[in-house]
Amino acid sequence: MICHCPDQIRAAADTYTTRTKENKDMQNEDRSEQRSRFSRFINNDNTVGYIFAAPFIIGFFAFTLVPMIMSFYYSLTDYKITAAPVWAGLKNYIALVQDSHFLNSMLVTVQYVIIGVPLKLVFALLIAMLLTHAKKLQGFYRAVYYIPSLIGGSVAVALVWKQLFSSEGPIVKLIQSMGVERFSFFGNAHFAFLPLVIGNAWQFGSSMLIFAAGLKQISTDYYEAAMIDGASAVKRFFSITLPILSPIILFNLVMQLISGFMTFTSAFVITKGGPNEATNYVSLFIYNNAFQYHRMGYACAISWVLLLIIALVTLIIFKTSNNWVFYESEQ
Amino acid sequence: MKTKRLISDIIYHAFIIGLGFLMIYPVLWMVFGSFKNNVEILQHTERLLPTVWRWENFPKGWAGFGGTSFSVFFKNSIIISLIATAGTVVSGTLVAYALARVPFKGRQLWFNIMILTMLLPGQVIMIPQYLIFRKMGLVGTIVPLTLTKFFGVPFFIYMTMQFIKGLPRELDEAAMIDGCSRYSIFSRIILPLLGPSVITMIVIQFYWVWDDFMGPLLYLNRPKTYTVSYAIKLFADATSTTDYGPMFAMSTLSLVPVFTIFLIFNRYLMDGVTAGSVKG
Amino acid sequence: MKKKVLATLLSAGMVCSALAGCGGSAGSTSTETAASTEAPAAEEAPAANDLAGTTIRFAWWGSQPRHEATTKVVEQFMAETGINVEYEFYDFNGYFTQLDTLAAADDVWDVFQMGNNWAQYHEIIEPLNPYMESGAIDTTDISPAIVQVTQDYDGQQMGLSLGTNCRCLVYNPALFEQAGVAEPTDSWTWDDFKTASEQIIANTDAQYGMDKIEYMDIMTAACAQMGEGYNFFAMDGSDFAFKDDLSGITKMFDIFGGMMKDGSIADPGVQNEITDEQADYICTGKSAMLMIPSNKFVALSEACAANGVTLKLALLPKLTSSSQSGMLVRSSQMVSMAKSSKNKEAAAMLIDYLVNNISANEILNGERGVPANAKVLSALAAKSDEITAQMYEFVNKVGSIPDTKNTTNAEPAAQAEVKATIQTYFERYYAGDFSTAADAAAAFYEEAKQVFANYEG
Repeated sequence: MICHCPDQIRAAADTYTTRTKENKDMQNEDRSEQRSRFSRFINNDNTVGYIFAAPFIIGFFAFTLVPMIMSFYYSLTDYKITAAPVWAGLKNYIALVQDSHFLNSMLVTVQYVIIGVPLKLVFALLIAMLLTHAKKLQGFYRAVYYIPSLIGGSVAVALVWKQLFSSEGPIVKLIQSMGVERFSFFGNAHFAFLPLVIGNAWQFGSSMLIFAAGLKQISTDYYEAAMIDGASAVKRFFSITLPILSPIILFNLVMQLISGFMTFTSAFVITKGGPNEATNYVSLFIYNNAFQYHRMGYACAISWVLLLIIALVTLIIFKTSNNWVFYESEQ
Repeated sequence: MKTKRLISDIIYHAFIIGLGFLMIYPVLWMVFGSFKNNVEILQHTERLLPTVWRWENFPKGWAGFGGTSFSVFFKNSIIISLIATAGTVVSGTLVAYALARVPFKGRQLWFNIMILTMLLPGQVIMIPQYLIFRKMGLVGTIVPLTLTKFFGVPFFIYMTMQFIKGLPRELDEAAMIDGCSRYSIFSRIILPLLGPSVITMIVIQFYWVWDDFMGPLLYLNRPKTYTVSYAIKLFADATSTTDYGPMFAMSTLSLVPVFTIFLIFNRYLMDGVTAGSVKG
Repeated sequence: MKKKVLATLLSAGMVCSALAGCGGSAGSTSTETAASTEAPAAEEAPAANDLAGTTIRFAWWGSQPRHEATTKVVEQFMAETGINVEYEFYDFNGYFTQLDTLAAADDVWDVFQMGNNWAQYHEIIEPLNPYMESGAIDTTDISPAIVQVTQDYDGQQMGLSLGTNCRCLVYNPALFEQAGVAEPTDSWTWDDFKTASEQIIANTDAQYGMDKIEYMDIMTAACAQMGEGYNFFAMDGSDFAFKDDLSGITKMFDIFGGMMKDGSIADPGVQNEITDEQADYICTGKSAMLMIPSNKFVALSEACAANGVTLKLALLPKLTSSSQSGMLVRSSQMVSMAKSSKNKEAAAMLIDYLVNNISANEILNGERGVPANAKVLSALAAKSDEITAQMYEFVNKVGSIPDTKNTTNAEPAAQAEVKATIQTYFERYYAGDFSTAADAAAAFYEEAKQVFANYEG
């Protein structure tokens, strides 16, 4: 159905041009010049771009820019929320480079990102692919796999998650039956992050949906052609699926990195940052400073350092993406 | 050959169903928790099914707080989620088109700014943003939760950009040669092809808005305007006693609208069911 | 097919905009109905009240029963006085986030519930002293000691208690009997506590002597027990008050850290796994003791009753059998007035009503703790069940211990961060970062001093 599209457009476009030609002949020169000046202006790429981008630009100036500037200003002050901010210069920034709690929180966050993000993405892509095979039951299966992503950071999840990984829970029992004594996830600083990472991967639904939508965009023609050529499933995956899906992979990667660096809810409701600050992720550290300890200025300073770090990582990914992301439109 | 096919089918389905059960177990636990009391929920976490089905948790939870029932909270949530989702879709497709396809001056700059706005943690933006909305006199209304979405949600703008970039450029080029303006290219060519992206946006954003409780917490300050996501939090309190059964019951009911939205749109994301797959 | 998708979307969009319209009008009608239901109440109100018609805002945090009861009381107050109260209620974390946001906007609710963390909010709280002197808020039936627990060190009344409680040790007497260990007495020591735990684990099915440590409680108690003039925090909240003598703190690292290491107290992981008192191991007889604020005794007893476990209340153990108790009666939650309030007289009326009105407190039913007002208390006590009466009696007993006046009630602004620091050092001690309890105590003190310094100025 869509294959005919260009033809239809061409036909429509043809009638459009002929009609304008006729119109032009009938009108006097002044008006047409005026109109074409307007039309040139309105069809100018800059005009078009700003018209379409206007919602974001307006919203940015109205709701986002000022809070960002204010948070930067707060980062240069002592601000305990209940009283007006007091100028402090670079004090907060100097304090944070010496703060072992901050350094620890950055370290555990990076660990979380390095392990958690690929895990979630691979899982989401795998399930999205797997589910493209079951023709009839696909909808049902996808629903089942998507449901966990609908219960978010609710109290119920926190309870059952704690139970699953608790010292009385099935997973620890299994590990103990393999001969490891006194094993605990939440009591051991080396393993406490695992339930959180797994929990994060478990809620992979939105990444999966985005992958699924991307997979749907891949023309079946490619696969048919590859099948005729006798390409194996693995080869088809690497030579067709991955390249065409690469813009979506890039998107999911960048977004999961950002949300990984800002991971908060699960640590907040399940581990509260413990034990021994092993899950005291930087967002939780920021929250505690801002709202528990009322050191908003310090919290803002950490946030801006975090922003710089994520921006740097994102920049590196964007720069290298030229080598592995394939845009159909830029063929 | 046929039996081999059958065996691999069985393995495939058994694997999907087995993994699916593991995935969904915590959800089932919550759903069945709706029929339990505190002792069963807290002291017998290993049990999935309730021993006695306590249906009374539902009316008890539904009654809400101080005379405001969950019918009010559900109504509020649905209104907010629908408007916010509509806003996200409209602005998301428009802005994404500009950033992905129109070579205007400053395009790269605006893209960078958009990414940058996602990098500051919400915890430090919250208070300044609240102060602005308060200046505008919008605290206590649903405007901060809905209208702002018409100005674009960076996550979805970027997502849609990637989908647009995946569309063959020959489509626009052909139309351009034929004299189509960028406006008609957007409405006649790009938009119709963005089906999967728009549907993904609807499903995900509806849920995100539905689930968000920080926004409602800050901006809605009369119990009659609270949303479901926030009302559920009101059951639990560390300084007093929490009744978990009704809380789980309402959490379970809260899944219904988001799951319905998913079911409605999911079929459009399936291969082979719709005839709408893009062919280059 | 494609068109159909688009059509669906478009119609969805139209529905949305239609609903947007509805949303607006629905919002306004609900305000109208709210206003119209309130109007007759205002008319019925006594004409003498010249505050009738003013509007104040009131907020609290809690769970369903509290929201239910407090809302009823507010409605009753509106009907009786004609003052219009816009009330909001939240969960604990949400409440304080919202309070912070309002504080930043200088627009705090006129009347609001407050915890013992009021030092962090000192700047936004209006002292109640003038209203108490003028009689707008009546404190004649509240004992001076209880009025004092919600004062700062300079005597400024930061609020009035909606309920009092005290730290307490609850224990399962059946497990003590089974192990052949004597039940806790008023002169019980921390060492007795440790021995009892070990014997109970050895001789019964119980897994732990105690499964959760209340770090702040044991620290404040142990330091106060060091003698008159010693405390964890100074009375005025300006500093620590154990005079660089780490013996009390070291003892706590030794007892609790050591018990965690040898397994008679649950490890940090298990402690973290317990989300709710009702899920505590004590409820199933797998743990013998627990420290709770007394107002949770009733709910905990109910959760235990499901498994046939009954509980008893005891004072916290002491450093030596003759040391001070280290106990005190404190406010569990109080009600405060905002400095930014524009209707302070009406706000004072609501505070007075919440604290002193008997019918209001019959609805609230002591859920926030033992009522501060003696007349209210006796009215409630007359109707209370056995377990509640036990709790009232216990708080009364603690109140009558003379040395409680030496125990600090101050929770300075640094409190939250100091508390997190204590827990971290216990977890580090458990993980083996320090070879002795004294090392852990010294390292903790080093950092805690730094934390305190950050809050000065």
